Formats: sequence, structure tokens, C-alpha cells
Amino acid sequence: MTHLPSFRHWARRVAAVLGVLVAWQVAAQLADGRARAVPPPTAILQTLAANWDLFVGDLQYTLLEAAAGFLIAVVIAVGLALVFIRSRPAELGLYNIAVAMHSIPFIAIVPILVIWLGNGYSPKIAVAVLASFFPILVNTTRGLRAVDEQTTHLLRVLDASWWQVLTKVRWPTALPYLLTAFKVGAPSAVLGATIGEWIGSQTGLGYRILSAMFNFDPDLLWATMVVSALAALAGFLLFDLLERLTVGRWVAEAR
Amino acid sequence: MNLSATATIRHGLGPRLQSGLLKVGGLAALVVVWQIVTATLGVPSYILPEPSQLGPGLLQDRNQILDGLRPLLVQSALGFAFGNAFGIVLAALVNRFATVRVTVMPVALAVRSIPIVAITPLITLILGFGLKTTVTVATLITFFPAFINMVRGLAAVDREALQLFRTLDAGELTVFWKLRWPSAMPYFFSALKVTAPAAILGATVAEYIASNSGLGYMIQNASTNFQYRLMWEATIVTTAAVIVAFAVVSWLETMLVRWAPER
Amino acid sequence: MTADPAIDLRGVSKRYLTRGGEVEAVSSLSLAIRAGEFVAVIGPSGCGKSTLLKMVAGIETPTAGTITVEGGTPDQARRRRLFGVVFQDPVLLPWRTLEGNVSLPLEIVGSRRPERARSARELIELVGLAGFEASLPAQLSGGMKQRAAIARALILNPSILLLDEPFGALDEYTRNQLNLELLRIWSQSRVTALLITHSIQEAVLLADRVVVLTPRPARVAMEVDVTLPRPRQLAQLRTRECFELVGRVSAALYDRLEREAGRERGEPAAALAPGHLDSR
Ligand SMILES: Nc1ncnc2c1ncn2[C@@H]1O[C@H](COP(=O)(O)OP(=O)(O)O)[C@@H](O)[C@H]1O
Ligand SMILES: [Mg+2]
Repeated sequence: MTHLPSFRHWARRVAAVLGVLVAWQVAAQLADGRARAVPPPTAILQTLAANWDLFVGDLQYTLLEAAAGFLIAVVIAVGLALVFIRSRPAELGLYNIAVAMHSIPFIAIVPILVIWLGNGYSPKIAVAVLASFFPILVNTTRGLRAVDEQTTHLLRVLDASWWQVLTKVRWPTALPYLLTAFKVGAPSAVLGATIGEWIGSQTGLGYRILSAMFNFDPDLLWATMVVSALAALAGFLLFDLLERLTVGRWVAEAR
Repeated sequence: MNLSATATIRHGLGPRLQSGLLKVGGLAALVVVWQIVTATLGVPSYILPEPSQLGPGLLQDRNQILDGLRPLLVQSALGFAFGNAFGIVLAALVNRFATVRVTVMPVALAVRSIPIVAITPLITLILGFGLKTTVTVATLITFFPAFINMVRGLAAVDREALQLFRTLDAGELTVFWKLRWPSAMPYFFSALKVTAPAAILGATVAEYIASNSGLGYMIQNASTNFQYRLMWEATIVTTAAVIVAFAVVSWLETMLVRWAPER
Repeated sequence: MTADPAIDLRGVSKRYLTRGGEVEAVSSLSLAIRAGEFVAVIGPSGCGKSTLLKMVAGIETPTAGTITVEGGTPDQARRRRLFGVVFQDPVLLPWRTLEGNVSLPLEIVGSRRPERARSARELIELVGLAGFEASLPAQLSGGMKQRAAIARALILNPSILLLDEPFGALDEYTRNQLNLELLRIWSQSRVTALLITHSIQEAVLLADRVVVLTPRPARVAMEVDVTLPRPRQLAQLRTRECFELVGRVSAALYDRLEREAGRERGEPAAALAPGHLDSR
């Protein structure tokens, strides 16, 4: 029952996007090559099909970096969130450091990361970590805290231990928040890995994007963009699915 | 929460003073550790410069850094202003006219999740190198959160308050300025807290790959020319600008929308 | 009765430190509750009733005075798990089934699964929810959720039941229905019960004694012994005796309001107080 409105929403959105695509195609056809930077969708599709093997090769690098970065970010963020809820002084001391880390323009530290970590996977993984850990940290902390006051009192009257409160109440309460964070964090990790590949790299979608830009190859650039957008979307959909399968049931019903 | 509040009071320090000290103390401790590590291990300054040398270095390079900071701030501010203006106007139209709403909203909702930073190369390809691209990136980054949050905020009017205005026979404009606009402010500020830092970050990225001015460009140029001190300085100044932008917006929020319950 | 009271508060005060300064919630309050007694506490909103209950439960500490619960401190009583609590919100964990929620205290105590299931089913039956064991909280009505909360409060066989406006969010019909259930359950177990409420009628219907508190800071304004015979029934609410009791509690509760209102109109306060009905 609750699926109907969301389906209609999606249908409307898909229709809107299709409408934009058709308009785009018509406009590009009418412009007839005068706007070379914006090829018609069909040309992008052709490039996609023609270079599929190339993209698959690029994807392997980018996805590996994004996945590694995302996992590391999750471990750091969730660990830190647990420290935060355990100790208020630790939170006050460490939170601003996390904010500062998050405020570093990550493109700016790619050169620094290359100096530190070399030219391999590591600097890209590091950028993916930086790009995704903050929203996970914020949401996990918020989720672990989202236990209402009366529940807290109930557990205190029952003399529940910190660990019991964590496993029986805080953690399940935080799960929806965590999955929301993952839905944001996974695409961010893909984005981070891609940007990490912009500089000092010979592989991956990011490298392909920048080289297409500098060589003024609009078809290739747009096609690579589509591939990286799909990769980011896949990250989102993975956790969206996981959310529906796990917490979706009682969250949807409780709201 | 109660517990820590009473605990701090028992220690004699005011709770606010104590938490303020901890907040500053964390960052200070980081800098101290950084200094000790770099000084005692003799880390080469291109890998990690000593914090104590950053100050004198910045002083020495201040003209260069300012020459980079100025364009960065101008470009981010332009984009930030355009993005907010477009966002607010379009949100007002969406709120007022159902036809605008049904045509614009589905596209906006589908497009808003595109990370603008990621499509900087595409914008560069279309608009070319320079100011146009950097400002456009900052504009787009600002536009979507401003627009989406304003649409929500303008619609998040208390229904009974709306009925009250209707019974008083208030016109659309009165309803807008006296009711919708103030109700939307908390939403607008949550967008600003994201977009103010993001506009600077986006402009930096755009400068890095598509400009020959600004701190973003300076970082790129310094790193390719092995001017590591300058690279570090530009990075730190950019980070500081991002943090200051966030702090200013947060402060404005507490001053201007004090009435709103925390969301 | 010479036996020690089950709950004994002596000169208890509680001050909260807030941004705006100190707030005195409870001020040198003394109250003794016998084992097996049902005491209802009534007072204006924000006067410190919940604070009082939290101090008895050992989750807030008094700033001054002492509280003794069954011969020990509230904290010891809490660790001995003497308490069952029901709050205004049912606070059911939305991801657990009714049975999972009711058996939560047993899990925390560390008892084994078969025993948990058996006790939970027994209590679910006791509160009249049999058949809903596998339902999620979102599928239950407000009254059913509150029944579940009562079952959960009873599952550790507490000797003291602490109820903080447990039916305050329910409609009057459901509220009376649950009052009767609570009476039935209480008369079977005869635990000591401390009920906080803002309904005079509920207090009179359920309690052996009604304690009226002053506006903040809370002090005992008056105690009313409820002489209605047990077992109690809803019909008793319509008796003359009950009207008089309700009138006396109401007079004590609204005393200050009425005097202030009277002063504004320049009238003597006594003429308004319904408590004087019975002396006429
Ligand atoms: N944790 C707390 N910190 C500060 N003030 C509190 C706290 N809990 C309650 N108070 C204040 O104490 C007074 C009594 O609160 P409470 O006991 O909840 O009243 P009620 O009688 O409505 O249950 C109120 O003024 C309330 O604002
Ligand atoms: Mg209360």
C-alpha cells in the first residue's frame, strides 16, 4: 500500500527525465553541430556502446578504490561515533577535528596524498575516505543518540549495562540513520575516488574524464560521466535495497 | 546529558567554559602533536611542514596568498549569491503556481542528487576555462539545496496559521512575507550551512582544473612546480576560509532564527 | 502499623541547575508509603511529580533529604530490581514484537529464552493482549501499547510499581477501562504502587491515599484517605462518598488558584471551595 505513492513519484521523475532527454536530443539535432560540447544523447549512447570495454576496465579501478575507501570510512566513523556517545569530553575534543578534516578541499590534498602515498590506489582510497566519512559520522552519532528520554529512564530503572543499552536499544535505533548515511556515503566514496583519479593518475574513470576534457572529446567525456553517475547510483541503490529489506519494515510502519 | 552537566558543575568550572575549552583543546592538541612529530622526527617540510613554520611562511608569502584568496572569495561569493537568488525566486514561483510546481519539481528532484563537483569537467568543456566556469560551479552547488529547502520551507506553514491569515482576509503577498517567508527561514539556513562551505570548496575545485587564478589554481600550480610550502599554505588558507564561512552562517542562524526549535 | 514503610521520603529537595539558573522542583517533601499501599500523587503540571518519581526510582538523586526504599537506598533498590515502571508514553521498541518488548527486562537480567517466552506470554495474557504476541508496536492501538507497558513493568515481579501518568495520553473511555484492569492486577499482586496522575477521578478510584502537591516547588499540600470500599468499581464514582472525596482533593489542588482568582474579584476564597460541600 505504501508503495503506491512512491511508485507514482518515481514514474513522474522518470517521465520528467525522459522529457528532458527528448528535448535535448531535438535541440542538439537542430543545433546541428554548432554546440559541439553538448552532443545529443544518442551520440553519447553510441560512444558508451563503442567503448564499453574501456569503461569496464576503468570501473574496476574506481569501484575498488571507492569500496575500500567507503569501508574504511565506515569503520572510522562508526568507531568514532561510539566514542562520542561514550564520552562527552572526547566528543567535544574530537568533533571539531572531524569538522576541520571535512572542510579541507579534497582536491587540494590530492597532491599531498600523492606525495605521502605514491601513485597507486592509496591516495584515491584516502580521498574516498575523506569524501564519505563525515556524513556517516554525523548520522551515526545522531542515530545512537535518538533514543528518547523515557526509554533511557526505563533502562536505567532496569539497571541495564552500557553494553546492553547499546546492543538492545541504541544500535537498532541508529540503524535507519546508519543506512541513510550509507546511502549518502557510498556515492560520495565513488565521487571521492573519481576526483582522486583526476590528478597524477593513468587509470580509472576520473583519469578518463579529465583526459577527455583536456583533449576536448565531448562524446567520451559525457559517456564517462554517465558511467560514473551509474556507479554512484549503484552505491545508493545497494543501500536503499538493504534498507528496504531490513529496517524498512518497522520504520515505515512506525511513521 | 544531565549527568555530565551536574558532573561539570561539581568540578567547579562553568559547563560552557569547560566545553569551550575542550573544543579548542582538541584542535590545539592536534597542532601540538603535529608540531612535536614533525620537529622530533625531522619530517621533510614537503611531506608535512611544522606548524610553527607555517605562520612565518604565511607572513612571507602573504601577498601571493592574498592574490589567490581574493579571486576565490569573489568567485565563490558570486556563485553563492546567484545560486541563492535563483533558488529563492524559483521556489517562490513553485510555491505560488501549481503549473510551475508540476513541471519543475520532478526534474529538480531527479537532478539535485548529481554531485556538482563531479561534473566540473563537463561544465569546463561547455563554458571554457576561467571565471564563467568557477562561478557556474559555485552557483549550481548553491542553487539546489537553496531551492529544495526553500520549497519545503515555504510549504511548511502551520495550517492553522494559514487559516488564521485567510480569516483575516490577508492577500497572497501578506501571507508570503508575514507567514511563509519567516517559516521558511530555518530551512533556508540549514541549506546555507551546507552551501556556504560547499560554494568555496566547489570554486576551489573549478579553479584547480579550469582556471588560472584563485587558491585552487595556486595549489595546482604550486604542486606541479614543487613549491610545497606555498601548496600547504594555500591548502590551509582555503580550509580556514571554508570553516569561517560555516561559522559565520551558523552564527547568523543563531541570531536570526533563534525562535526555531532545533531540527 | 509498626512495620517500616516501603518507601520513605524525609525532607527531600531537588534543585536542577539550568542555563537560566537554579530550579527548585521539590522542596523538603516528606512522605511514607506502606508496603502494599496504593498511593496516588496529584499536582499541577510542572510541579515536580516526575522528579519525585525519578528520585524514588534512583535515576535522579535528591539535593537534600533521604529516601529509603525497602530498607535501602533507591539505587540499591534499583539494582535489586524492585521496581516496575510505566511512563506516559509506552516506550515500546518499534523493531520488537509485543512479546519481545514485554520480555526485554528479562533479557537484561539475563534469563534464558524459554523462561522469557513463558513469562511474557503469561503477562500478555494477564493484561488482555493474548493473540497479539507477534504484533509490532505500530500495529497496536494506544491503549494496547499501554497494556504492553504494564505487562513489561510486571514481568520481573517487582515489589514496587511506579506509574508516571500512565494513562494521561488516552481517551477517557480507554482510561477508565485500563484503570479497572490496573485495579484487578494490583489486587491480585498487592504490590506497593505509586501513581502519578493529573486526574482526580483516577486518583480516587485507584488509590488508598491521595497526596496533593503544591505548585512548584512540590510539597505535600494535603493527604486524603480514600475510604471507598474495595474491590472498587466504576459505579462507585457516582456515589456521594466519592463526590465528597473528589471535592476535597479538588479543593486542595485548586486552593491557590481560587484564592488568587478570589482576590482579584475581592471575594472571600472559602465560599468557592467545593471542599466545603460536605461540612454544610
Ligand atoms: N533534567 C532537568 N533539568 C532541569 N530542569 C528540570 C529537569 N527535569 C525537570 N526539570 C524542571 O523541574 C520542574 C518539575 O518537572 P517535573 O518533575 O517533570 O514536573 P511534573 O510535575 O510535570 O512531572 C519543571 O519546572 C521542569 O522544568
Ligand atoms: Mg511529569
